[in-house]
Amino acid sequence: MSITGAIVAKDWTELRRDRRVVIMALMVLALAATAILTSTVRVASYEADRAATLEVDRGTWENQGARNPHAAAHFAKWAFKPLTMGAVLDPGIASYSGSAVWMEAHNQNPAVARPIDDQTIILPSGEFSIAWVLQVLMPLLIAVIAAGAVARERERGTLKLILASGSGAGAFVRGKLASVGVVTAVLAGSVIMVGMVAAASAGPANPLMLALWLIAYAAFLAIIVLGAVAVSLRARSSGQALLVLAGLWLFAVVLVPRAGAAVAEIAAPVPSSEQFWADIAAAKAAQPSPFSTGREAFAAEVMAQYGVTRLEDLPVSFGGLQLEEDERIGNAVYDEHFGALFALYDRQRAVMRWGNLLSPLPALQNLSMALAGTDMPQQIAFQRQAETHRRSMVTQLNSDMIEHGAGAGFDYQAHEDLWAEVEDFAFAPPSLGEVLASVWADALILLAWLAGATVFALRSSRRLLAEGA
Amino acid sequence: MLRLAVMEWRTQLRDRAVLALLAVLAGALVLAAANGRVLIAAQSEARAAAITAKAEADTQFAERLANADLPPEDAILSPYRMRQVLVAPLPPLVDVSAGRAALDPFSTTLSMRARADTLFQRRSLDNPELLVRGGVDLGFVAVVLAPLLLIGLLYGLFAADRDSGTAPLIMAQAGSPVALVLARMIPRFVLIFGPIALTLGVLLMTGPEVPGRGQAAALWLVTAALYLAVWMALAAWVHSRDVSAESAAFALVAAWALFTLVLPAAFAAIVQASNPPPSRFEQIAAARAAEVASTENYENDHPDLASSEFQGRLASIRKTWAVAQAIEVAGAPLNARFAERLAGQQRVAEALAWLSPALIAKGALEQIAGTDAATAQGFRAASEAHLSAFRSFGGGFVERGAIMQTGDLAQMPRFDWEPSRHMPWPSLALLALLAGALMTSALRRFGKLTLAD
Repeated sequence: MSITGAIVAKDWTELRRDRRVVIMALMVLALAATAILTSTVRVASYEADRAATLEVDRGTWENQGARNPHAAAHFAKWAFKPLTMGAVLDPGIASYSGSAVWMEAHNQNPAVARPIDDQTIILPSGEFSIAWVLQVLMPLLIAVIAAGAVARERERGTLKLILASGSGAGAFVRGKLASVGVVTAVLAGSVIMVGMVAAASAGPANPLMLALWLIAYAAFLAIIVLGAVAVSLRARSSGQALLVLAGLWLFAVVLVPRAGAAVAEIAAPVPSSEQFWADIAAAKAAQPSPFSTGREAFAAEVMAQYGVTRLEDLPVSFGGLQLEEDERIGNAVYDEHFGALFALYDRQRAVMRWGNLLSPLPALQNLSMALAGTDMPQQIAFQRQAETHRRSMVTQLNSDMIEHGAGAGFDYQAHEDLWAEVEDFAFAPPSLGEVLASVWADALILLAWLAGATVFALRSSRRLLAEGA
Repeated sequence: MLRLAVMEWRTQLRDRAVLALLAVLAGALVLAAANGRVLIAAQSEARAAAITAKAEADTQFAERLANADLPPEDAILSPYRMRQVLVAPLPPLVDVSAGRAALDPFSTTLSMRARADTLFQRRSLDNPELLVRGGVDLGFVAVVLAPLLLIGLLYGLFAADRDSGTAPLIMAQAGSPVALVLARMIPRFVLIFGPIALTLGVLLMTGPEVPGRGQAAALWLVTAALYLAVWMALAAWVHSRDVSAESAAFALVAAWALFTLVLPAAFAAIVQASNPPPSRFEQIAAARAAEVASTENYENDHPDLASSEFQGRLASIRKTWAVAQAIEVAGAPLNARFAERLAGQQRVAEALAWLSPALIAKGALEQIAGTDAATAQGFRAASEAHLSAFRSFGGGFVERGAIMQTGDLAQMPRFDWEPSRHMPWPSLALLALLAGALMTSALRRFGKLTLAD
């Protein structure tokens, strides 16, 4: 048996006999199993609920009977965001973001129905999921396992014996890395594999996205293993190594992501909703409305366009034209304000990326959420697509009134066949290329951390060479 | 013992590992203070804006009613021009323990068209990416960071001396093991708790005047001290057993992870599974089906466009009012289920919280700060109840076909909700009991130690 194999076998036996580690590992696995189960049930019930609601709402919409198209535009439709299979692995921002947008006339509405509004417990560190187990608990478990990997040999005095036996410090360090790596791979691997099977069974899966998700976590856990073994190489005792690793874990896993969010909030504050809506109302009020301050000018423009001198002579519905003009003016205001809001979110993400200097976790979180389809850029894509659909739907309804409602004013009633012509909203998730384009920086950062951890482990192992000499 | 404690204090401040831990604490506290100030400033400004909007709405409406020139066909629409802005009072320590403050609404605007299920729908602009990661406030530092840092500082409490064989010598110098342990614990406790208390003082001095803030801060500080005392006592208890320094560190870190991360995660799953909320999508669909079933045309949107005549407009707002009532009736069972499930979640969460000192402390700190889930739900429930009274008031005029007069303003329901401030005395008592029992047990064991041990 090679030295590496012998070390792995010995450490594995020792860990199996250490009831403390076994209990902790079982606890983590039990939590992971619970997370997989609850996430799968949640995603399945959400999707079933969404499908049922769409069905009911479609019936309500199509059977509303003959009525004015603008009345229908006020009643309007809802866009419901689908949950992808990736949400089983990482719910990302799903609990904190709205999943339904009311696509009504006149107003661009924000996404509502946040699950967090219907939850009473907020966890001290992220949402309970497989991703949370792998991001938060697994590094702590690795720290516990790796703390004594070398430091305990030093405490017992067996380190000098091993180094003096001629096996070589390099082989010893490789053995220790392999030992901790194998245990991590078994524990994390089993969690990830079961999670992936659950995710694949929850809906159509993109194998490439799943593979990249797996690679991202493998890189992150490799960083933790390398760093933890390096600390154990440098520590005087296993107790000291454990405390240093627990401190580093607290800093890198618990504190830095929160600190990043806190700094982002300070650096790029989002306006209060009161202010945001008041600004929009003021901006809309400042525009010449075709119903009030701008009515005369608009009427003159329309009459000139159609070559008539009286509104009554128009071959189209003036009310419909007013509504469409009102939408055009409102849309420009919404574009400006929502554009600025989304730009602020982007700035906040850029600020949070600075946290990657102190921890690889924010980069992993961005990659994990993006590949799972539950990150902020995809939420914004949903809201933008819903808004595009709203505008198209309202224009379709206004156009019907413009074309067929001449002379009838708001008493015009569209035929109920019109409702079936209005398409349902269907969210088109970004392609893999678009997803990767939003997180390539995070992938590079994670690779840089991997390289840095490797260098740190190598430098730490050189100390061992000196100790052996 | 005092001399020993002073020596320990100096030793700690010369230790680079201790300084590193204190640097992490200092960084977190600076961030917590900065974050707290930003949050309280934002919440104060937004409330001030809402109160201004409320005053403007009241004035405009009073002017409308006082306008003798308003033609009847416009005056009949007054119920549908009523606006009321509801504002929850600023929690006394929102900058200290943010709790649900960043998530839950604290103001909303009522009109005759508002509905209980949509009352707070436009209130969520915060970046979900930040919300999911959470913020850093003083409550987070006290509940999550401080105990683990204290565990780090208490690594050398006693077990390491026993491992190295120096325990008898040190005990001989100290006079008694109890004096030694106390002299080691107290400076470490002060090193962690002192900066937290200092930061709280800074926030109090630089924050706005809020009724009850000083008293709440004092109680908050006592709760944080008791919670840290629990961890100090637990560390003393573990070190009083015949275990190695590594085992002691492992046990304490594992206990911290269990109470702070694992149990809350497990409880969150249990709470959700025990009282799953009904579907918000179903609620939306039910309201829409009720709306479309009770409307035929344009009446529910623009009464001023529906007709220019008094009778036409009255008919229009009567139809709108009937539609609103139909939607309310259709949505009532689902709304009641939401309220019932959330209350159920709250009950289960409160019961389970007794199993984790971290959750006891977190709950108590947020309760004192006025940012707990129960207070947030209280505001929602009060707002919904007020909405019902407000709409009934306006609806009465619609039903009677009466024009609202200035004198009627005095009858308009006013929102004067104040959160019920229940102090978390049971939580404080339990933390004190836990700390006392563990410390007594630990000191008894230390007291029985002899130099031969």
